[in-house]
Amino acid sequence: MIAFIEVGGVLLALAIAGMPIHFLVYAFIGRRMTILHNERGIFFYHLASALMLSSLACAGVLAAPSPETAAIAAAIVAGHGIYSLTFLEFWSLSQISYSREILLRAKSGAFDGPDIPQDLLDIGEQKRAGRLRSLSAIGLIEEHEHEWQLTAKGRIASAALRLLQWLPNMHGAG
Amino acid sequence: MWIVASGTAFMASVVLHAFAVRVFRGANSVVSFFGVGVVVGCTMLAVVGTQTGFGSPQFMAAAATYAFACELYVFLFTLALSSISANLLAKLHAESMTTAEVETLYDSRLMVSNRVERLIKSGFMDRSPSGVVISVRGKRLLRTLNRLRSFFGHDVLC
Repeated sequence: MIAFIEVGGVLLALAIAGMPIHFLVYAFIGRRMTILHNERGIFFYHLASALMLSSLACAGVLAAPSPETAAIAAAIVAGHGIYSLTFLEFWSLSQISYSREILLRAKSGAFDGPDIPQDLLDIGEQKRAGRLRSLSAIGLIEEHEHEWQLTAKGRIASAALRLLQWLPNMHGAG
Repeated sequence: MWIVASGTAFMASVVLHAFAVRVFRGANSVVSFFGVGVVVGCTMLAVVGTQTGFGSPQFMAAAATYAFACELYVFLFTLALSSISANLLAKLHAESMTTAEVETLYDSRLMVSNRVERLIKSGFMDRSPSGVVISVRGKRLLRTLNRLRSFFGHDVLC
């Protein structure tokens, strides 16, 4: 029994250590790797870590089942969720932020007039182009008699998004 | 018990926030959710801590799961606001649209204007007689974003 508790403790300790190790590996090695410079790469880097850490936490609970170890495992998994979400938000914000591009143009004075710089319009155009195609490719919308409409899956996603816009009383586009 | 407390507190935060943004119109949704979330979260943790002990595994689990749920909610509702794909899906709920209608709705000029308005509202840009200029707060944000770009290995443009 004591051995099981020790194994559980070691697994949970490994899971707790996983997050700082994951961050340090990225800081010293990962950020120089080309594969982690695109959305898919960085997402899988975090997904793999989350799956590994969750498995360790679950193994820890199975090795020493108790309400306390279950609570620690839940805290570890939620902690990794906070870490990954924060990391990916910052990563994405600094890489492709439209707001950043606007601030950059305003800082260089290119915004001191009524005209919107062409390169900003181009970014907007790039953002819009292919949206219909990509939404269609993942089965959320379909073209029917030259009109785009929601699929059954798209209606569920749309309802969830409308709820997410309605709850905080937010309405916007782009 | 802690999971029920954490889940209930999260739902209470969402509902209270929905009321708060309708009562205090014009309030920043993210900041107001943070305010509501902290108050509700502290109350929940006081209850859990009293029953299981402050610093107990249950206390930590309640705090972590509640914080994660709140962060995920903020991420999702800001995504629903700012993502073009998300907005398009929400709009298609009301009526089907032709490609030309979608292009008109998401006109580049309109999207830039909307984003500039939001930056002005958030205090990152100011209106001046010569046009729209970056504010001190905006410059600070830009510096932070550039540091992040440098850390993540994205190209630093300024």
